[in-house]
Amino acid sequence: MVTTLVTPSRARTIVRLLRVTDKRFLIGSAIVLVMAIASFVIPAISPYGPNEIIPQDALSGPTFQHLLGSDDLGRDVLVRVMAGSRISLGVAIGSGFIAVLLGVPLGLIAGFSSGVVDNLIMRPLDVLMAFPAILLAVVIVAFAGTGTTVLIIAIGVVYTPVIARVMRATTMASRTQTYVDVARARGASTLRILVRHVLPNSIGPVVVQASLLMGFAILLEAAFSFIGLGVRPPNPSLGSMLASERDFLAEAPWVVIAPGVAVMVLVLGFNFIGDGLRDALDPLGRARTR
Amino acid sequence: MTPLLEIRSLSVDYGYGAVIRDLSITVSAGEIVGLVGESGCGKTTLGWSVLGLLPRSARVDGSILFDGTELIGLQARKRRKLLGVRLSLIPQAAMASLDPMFTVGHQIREIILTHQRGGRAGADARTVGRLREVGVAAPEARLRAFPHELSGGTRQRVATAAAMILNPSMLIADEPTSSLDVTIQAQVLGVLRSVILEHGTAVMFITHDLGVVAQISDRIAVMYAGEIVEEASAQELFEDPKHPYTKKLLAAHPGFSNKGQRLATIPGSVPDPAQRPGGCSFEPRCPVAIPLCQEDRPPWVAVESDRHVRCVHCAPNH
Repeated sequence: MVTTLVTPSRARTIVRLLRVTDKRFLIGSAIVLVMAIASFVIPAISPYGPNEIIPQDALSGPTFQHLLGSDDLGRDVLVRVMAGSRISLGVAIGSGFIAVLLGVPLGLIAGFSSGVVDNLIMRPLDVLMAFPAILLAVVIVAFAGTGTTVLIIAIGVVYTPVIARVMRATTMASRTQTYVDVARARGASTLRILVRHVLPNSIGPVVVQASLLMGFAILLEAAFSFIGLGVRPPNPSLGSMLASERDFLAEAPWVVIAPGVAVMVLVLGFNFIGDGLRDALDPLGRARTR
Repeated sequence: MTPLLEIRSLSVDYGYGAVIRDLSITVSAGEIVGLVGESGCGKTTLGWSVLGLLPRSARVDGSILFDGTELIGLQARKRRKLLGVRLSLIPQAAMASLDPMFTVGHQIREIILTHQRGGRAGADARTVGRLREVGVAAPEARLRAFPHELSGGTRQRVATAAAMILNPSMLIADEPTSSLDVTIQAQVLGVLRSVILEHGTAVMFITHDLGVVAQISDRIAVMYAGEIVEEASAQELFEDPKHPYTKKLLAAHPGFSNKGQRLATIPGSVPDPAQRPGGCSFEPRCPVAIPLCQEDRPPWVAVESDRHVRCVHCAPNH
């Protein structure tokens, strides 16, 4: 029977999400979790504030006083990296949340209704998608001003079409399933069918896509802060640290290496989560190339 | 007896010719009517037009009265109140008909709570009762099972329980046993029959399997190319088929009269709705066709009081 070949593996997406034992997923989750905890704990227990200037310690290498050294103004690099990571994580999760919040209903409605409604929703999103992410975000920031909140919204909006497209595709696949017709034959309303049957059966790939996008969001936030459109100095952000300290690369490489490594680790963590989820949810158990 | 379901001159067209043409049939309360025919003769379309599940592109003409309510063009809101409650469906493929994301208990509870107020515990108790009735072993444990954890037979039983949960007065059973192997088929059919009889549910039983309709139906309608060509009580139909298509169909069924012989076949296939013959739909394949068959659609002849055949050979003036 064909149905038994396909359906059980696709079947318990939510249950599978909770029980994913994929190694990369576990490692990725561990990385993100450790970074998240550290970004709160380390600034709290450290004797230095993230913006605290200690001139006599300027550009000191890694010592017991400053585990990752200090920058040109004598600010502790470890504390600043951790405070910056906290902002990066906030931007990643916040923008991912916004992209899902906007993209999922749009994709669900577009994929379920098709025809005119589908075009009304998807064509503007296609236009949005035609612009490079960073350019679009720059435009939004240019209109709304800089700042973390604006950045979260800008990145969230930029990634909305990506989520909406994935959601639309999976919705189109599940709306033709027999259980949708059967639910209708049992008197379920369209809204009920959408929320209770189509959404749960279609959300899996969106979760994967969202976790991958969160990794990109970290990069985007770093890029924006680097060019001065994100978190404004003196507040620490991984991007702004890279920008302001790059002049000291030769004498004190640690001031640049530390935030750079932090960006890398965070992106790696989110990508591992995304890749791991994707493989774990793949019905055929093989890695798909994106 | 006033019919519970009365379909009068129903035609359904998906845009490339009539899939169902001027079809009339009635089902009385508590009656089991078998609807037999080859693939592509419009059986499922008929069932779906009763449930109002046809795609919007389908053009539907005629009348479908269910307990006095006209179903064609019925408001969606009113239809939803009917479906699942008084008119329900046992679907074709039980696996595909169950949502893979949710447990059996959740899905049946959903049906109850869509239509009626009440708590989860009460709904689950009813579900367990109904599952036991259709012969699901350990029904309490099955509430927490996902569809893919069940065997094919159990899935079909669950689908039956889901259809019957609100005691509908009528069921559309669309090939409910066709995806099961023969031994399981017989079990599920037995259970279905006893549940239906116990609750006095009227059933339109759609199948291509003559053996199955023989077991379960009171009355049988033979469909060909979107029309009913013969309608008779189950016994009469098997003992004395009138329409040449019915005769051929019975001859092609293994085990009725032809042990040890090569199975008879009906040459050709069901006509495409777009290229339907002008006269009798069966004329191109009919062994006893006469020139008249090409010209006029055969009349709906009442052979006996409750027996009809659509064939010129049965017409009194022939």
